[in-house]
Amino acid sequence: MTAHEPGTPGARRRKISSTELALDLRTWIAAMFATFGSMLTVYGAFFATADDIAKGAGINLNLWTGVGMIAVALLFALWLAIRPSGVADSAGEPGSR
Amino acid sequence: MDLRLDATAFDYAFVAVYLFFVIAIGVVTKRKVRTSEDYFLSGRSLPAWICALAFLSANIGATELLGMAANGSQYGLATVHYYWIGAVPAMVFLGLIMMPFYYGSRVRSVPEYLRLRFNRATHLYQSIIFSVATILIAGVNLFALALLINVLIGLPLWASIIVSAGVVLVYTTMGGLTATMYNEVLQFFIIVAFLVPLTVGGLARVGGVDGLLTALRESQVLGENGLSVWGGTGLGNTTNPYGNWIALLLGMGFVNSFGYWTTNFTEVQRALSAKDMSAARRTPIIAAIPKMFLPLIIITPGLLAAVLVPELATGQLSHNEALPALIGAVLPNGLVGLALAALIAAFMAGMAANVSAFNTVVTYDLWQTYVKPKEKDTYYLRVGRKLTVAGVFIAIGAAFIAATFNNIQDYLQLLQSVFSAPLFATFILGMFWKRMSPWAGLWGLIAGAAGAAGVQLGYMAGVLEFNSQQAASFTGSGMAFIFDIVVSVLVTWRTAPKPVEELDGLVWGRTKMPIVGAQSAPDLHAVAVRAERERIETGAPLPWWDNPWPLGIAVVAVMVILNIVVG
Repeated sequence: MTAHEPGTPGARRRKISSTELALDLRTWIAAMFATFGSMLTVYGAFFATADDIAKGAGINLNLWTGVGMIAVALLFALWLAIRPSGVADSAGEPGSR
Repeated sequence: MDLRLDATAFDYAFVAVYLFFVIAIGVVTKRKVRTSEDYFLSGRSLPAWICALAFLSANIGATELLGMAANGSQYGLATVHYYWIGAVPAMVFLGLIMMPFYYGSRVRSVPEYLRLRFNRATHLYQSIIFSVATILIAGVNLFALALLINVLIGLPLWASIIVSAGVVLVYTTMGGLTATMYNEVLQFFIIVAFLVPLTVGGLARVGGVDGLLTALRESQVLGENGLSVWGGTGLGNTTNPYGNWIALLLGMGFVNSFGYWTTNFTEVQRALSAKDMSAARRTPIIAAIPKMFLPLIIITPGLLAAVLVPELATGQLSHNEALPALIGAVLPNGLVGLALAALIAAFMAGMAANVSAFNTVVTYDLWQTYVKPKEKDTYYLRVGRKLTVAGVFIAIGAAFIAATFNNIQDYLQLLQSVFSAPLFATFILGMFWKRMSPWAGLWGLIAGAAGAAGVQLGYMAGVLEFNSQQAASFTGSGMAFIFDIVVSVLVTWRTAPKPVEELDGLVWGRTKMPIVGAQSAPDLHAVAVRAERERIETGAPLPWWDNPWPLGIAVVAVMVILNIVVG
């Protein structure tokens, strides 16, 4: 993530390459939570048995965990969109004043 | 009672997806690795939040998860001492007081600090001890994983050892510390994602928090102090399972926890990979914030298990099986898969953390310093990759050593008290006492280890009596600390100190100097370092959000409030 000097003019406007995206941990968290979240949501919404529901004393644990995980995935995706890796890296660095 | 989960193909899909992500991260982060510092220290490029979560995760391995839920189901709320007294103060201390020496001297490992501050003999001794102990612990993780998988889904021990060691091998060899730390952060999130529904579902089953407290009060399975944190810690009539308040503060809170959090390279390495000094200092402090609140979703399941799994009280199940038993009782299919993936994640991350600390110390501190110095940087990168492979194979061997110990926690405590407890005494003296001589470093460490080993041997031979192996280990740590201090002072008194100019950046009062003792390793953040030096010279303050002090003080204040409120 040290591809450019912090504070270089144009760092903010530069397009983020797919390599940079793949090297950003936030991409991975979003992808993993989106995958697991959808698996749980679909199972919870369509395939949950009475036994499954009884284990959570009436709460559909799969469905709610799935929805929660998708929400977390969206938050990370949003963070990624607002502050792409190059910018997030140089912000707050002492050299960038 | 059978702990076997009725896992379906859908559940195994979660494990498969997780393993896919883990290996993919290894493949992608390989592109980030060009120099040896990229491989061993992530090129010192990571932001504070990643370092902090990896720092936390390297510690909440699966042995910790199972162990703390077990303690919760056996002893109750007082288990939070492991989190509040036993971790938070040491983490804040590391960030505020010790990190300037570690990060500021540009050392690449904890043993390397000993070489600059003391001498090569001290360094060689500690590097060898650390490498051996670390790889043994990696073996323990591997063995514990295999045992758990065997109980939960019936896979034979050798199969899970080979598969999980193979996956760890693939991603640590390719991506180095970056892949390891990325996976640790993923592990943190996935563990939280399965513990939250486990806690919520469990609470729903017992009728909420009130229902849980009522059930525990009626059944009294946790004993009379099971629902208080500080109850029964009085000196005259100590009934708290963790002893009186002096033993708690000094034993767990000081000697053991400071030794572990501030000098264990598997932890400190995460902060050394931060992109600048401010991020490095905030790493353990930010990590302390989730650490304070983790008991909510780690110890509460332990308490829930005490109610929902009656076999724990009757002795049909051991307390170490509290968490797996609760997973079987509360989580439906689907979440069972997520839980399996999370437990495997925790074990693999624990093993990878140890392997990545092992290869760094062996490459930089042993190979580069004593065997083949002055080679090209790419040479050490190649050596590091080969050592990672070797480390994984040694860990597999160590897994079978671990199999011969009855209680894995005892085995870890034993290693911990003999080898890591004296280290904190030496560091604290070395950092704050300029006069301490180079040879005092070596002899202090040896005396400390001898003190701890003496207590252990005395206990095994039956000369000394303790309530448990763990109590013996705690006392051993205390002995190690005292022996180390006494011998260090005696040796310093008889030998010459290091010239004070050679201590720049290494001891208290000499950190605001141009740093001379540091390695000439490729410095990827020359810009940040130059800015930091300029800032120190001009005396300009850090912006408050980059300053670790307000954050550190706030964390300690919240910790104290939690102790008072929960009582």
